[in-house]
Amino acid sequence: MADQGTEGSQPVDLTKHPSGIVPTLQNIVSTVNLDCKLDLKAIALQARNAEYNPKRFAAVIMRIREPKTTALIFASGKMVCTGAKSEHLSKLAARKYARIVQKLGFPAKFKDFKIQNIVGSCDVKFPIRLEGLAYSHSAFSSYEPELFPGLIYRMKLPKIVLLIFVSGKIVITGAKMREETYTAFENIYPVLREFRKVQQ
Amino acid sequence: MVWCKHCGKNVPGIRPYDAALSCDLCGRILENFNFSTEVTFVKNAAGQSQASGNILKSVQSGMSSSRERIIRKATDELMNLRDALGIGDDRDDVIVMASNFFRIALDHNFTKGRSKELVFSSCLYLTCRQFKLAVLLIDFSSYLRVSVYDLGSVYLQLCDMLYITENHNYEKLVDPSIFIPRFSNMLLKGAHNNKLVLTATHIIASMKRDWMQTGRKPSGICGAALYTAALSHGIKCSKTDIVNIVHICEATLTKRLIEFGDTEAASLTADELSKTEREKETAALRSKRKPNFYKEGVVLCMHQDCKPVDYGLCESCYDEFMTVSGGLEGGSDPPAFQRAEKERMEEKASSEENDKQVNLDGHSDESSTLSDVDDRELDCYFRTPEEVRLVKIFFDHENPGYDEKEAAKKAAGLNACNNASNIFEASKAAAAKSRKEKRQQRAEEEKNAPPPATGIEAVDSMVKRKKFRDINCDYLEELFDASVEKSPKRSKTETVMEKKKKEEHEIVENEQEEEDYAAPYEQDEEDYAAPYEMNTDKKFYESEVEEEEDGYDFGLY
Repeated sequence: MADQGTEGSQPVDLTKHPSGIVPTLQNIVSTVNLDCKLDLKAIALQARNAEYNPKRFAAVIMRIREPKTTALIFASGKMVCTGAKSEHLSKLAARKYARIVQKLGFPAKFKDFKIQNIVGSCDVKFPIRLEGLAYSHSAFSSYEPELFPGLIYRMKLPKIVLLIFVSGKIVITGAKMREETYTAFENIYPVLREFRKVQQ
Repeated sequence: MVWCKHCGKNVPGIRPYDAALSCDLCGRILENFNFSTEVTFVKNAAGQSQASGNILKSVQSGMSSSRERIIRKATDELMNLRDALGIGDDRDDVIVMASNFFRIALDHNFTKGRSKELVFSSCLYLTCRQFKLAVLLIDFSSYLRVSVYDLGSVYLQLCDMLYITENHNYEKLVDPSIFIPRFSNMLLKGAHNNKLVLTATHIIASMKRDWMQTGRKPSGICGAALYTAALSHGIKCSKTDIVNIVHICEATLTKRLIEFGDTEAASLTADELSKTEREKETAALRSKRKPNFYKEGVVLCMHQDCKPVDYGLCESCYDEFMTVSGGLEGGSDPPAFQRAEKERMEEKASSEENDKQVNLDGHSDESSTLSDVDDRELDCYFRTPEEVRLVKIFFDHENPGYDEKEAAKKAAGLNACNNASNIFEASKAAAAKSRKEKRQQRAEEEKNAPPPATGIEAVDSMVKRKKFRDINCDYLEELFDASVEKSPKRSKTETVMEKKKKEEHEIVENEQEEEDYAAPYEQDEEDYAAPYEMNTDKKFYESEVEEEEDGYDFGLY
């Protein structure tokens, strides 16, 4: 949550974030097409940061330190990049992976880069009575304490899934653009405030 | 009853002799037609009579026999589940509702792709939630020996499917209090202790007010409350007994007990706790807070026609909410929130020590050839040739047959291409063969064609036919001489045949002389006309050749 602190210290744009809280992006999943057939064994033997176990998974798992990400590289030339904290870092990491594959002797290109999922999180800093949320928004809520300790809120517009916990921590997932994450949080924040703990 | 304009009222109409509809009071004709509503029969293509029209299926048509069998089996399985879990042998209403849920699921093809046991259990569990029966998901999973999360996912999908319209909720939240009587009976092995149940219920109520229950499994809450109540009433039991009854881990029970120990209610005795809970319950009934966010008169729960009481809920939902949870006022902070607060405090302390921030500079230029990526940074990711050799040894040892499998995959791909080309070549060869066959047929036909020499033979055979009509012997002899020169072998047979035919001609001539004297003239005319026809038409040559063969047969005999 260091990023949360740094963002908190900066002045928050209240026109964009009326609640005063900015969700922090935690993970971004993106895909890219290298547009050539790859010899996974050759990549696994020559790259020091690659691991390949064909019995377990039919893709090379490659990691780089900066930005700290993990990539799945398939024989068809498709690549999945996970673990980045922002859209720009995700693209930078994907380009680095593509460059590594290029230097191994494959005619790799960089086509169809697309962000598939953005996971954000934030803390509203007050306890939330999940039962009230489940009763008042039953059409969108799924609260089963036997199965999961949080409340699963499936927002329709934007189409985002939020995990709401009693500690006040919120997880926002399913976005393809950063603005969707912010909009979803601004939509749910008044409802969360309605069911916050009232101090005597 | 039909409306009569003349009488100005509804009258019972009559149809005398199946004629027009008439008013039985004034006799006015009300309807001048009489349509038949009887079933009519028509002949089909096979000549059979059948009723005209089609039969439309509807709900009243009933179900097919296989579906009835499925529902009957489902009812039996649900009864078995109910009895196995001890819900109650006399609870037929539970079976009826669960069967109805299963019927809806069956209509939506919910049973396809899912285990039947999971669907039955989900329907029965949903029914228990409606009736507020003390059954947990883990009871079903323990009985069926499946993962509680597999059963839970099927249950959630069933709930999602049953939400036929929006804002229509079938499931209700679980109140942990309903499990206390069942668990206490199991703990005391059938004996009923009302004080124990009451104290445990009060402990759960205080846990709700202290926000210990939100986000927690009801079995864990019940376990901690029951353990505390049992000890306070002097009942000897260990954590292992509680753990076995409520299906939780001992660490979970310990954690819940520690959390309860941090609250104010933990320092009270059982009697003091009962007094406090009763006072708070009475106070909660009196006070109600007005909504500060939602609009007046608008309810958020499924009961749209009711008036809101608080939090946008109607009266029944509000009461349920206050019962299931402890409300929003008072109590301690939830344990998860307290841990989060501690973490925030620690982070503040650590962040004051370190104020360093690292900002990454972005690259605005992005070329498609990836030349902008710094190659020096990536050099550390490549292995040296020696390392590659060692890693290759390890890889080949860990994955024996990998190269063979890859080669087989590539060969399979190539074989597919080869097969295609082979088919193409085969088609070409077939075409060439067909051409050759045609050429051979033509050659054979040419060989079989009659040689030009047969013209003379045809003339001979033709002449032989005319012998029956007394042809000139001199002309015949001339032809005979020519044939002798060309084919000496045939002369012998011809001579024999000529002798026989000459005898026959003598007999014929004798007869004709007796009858008419004009006959010889006609024969002479035929002799002159025949040669021209034979020379022009080739078909005659071919036919004559066949006749020659027949002649040989006669000679042999």
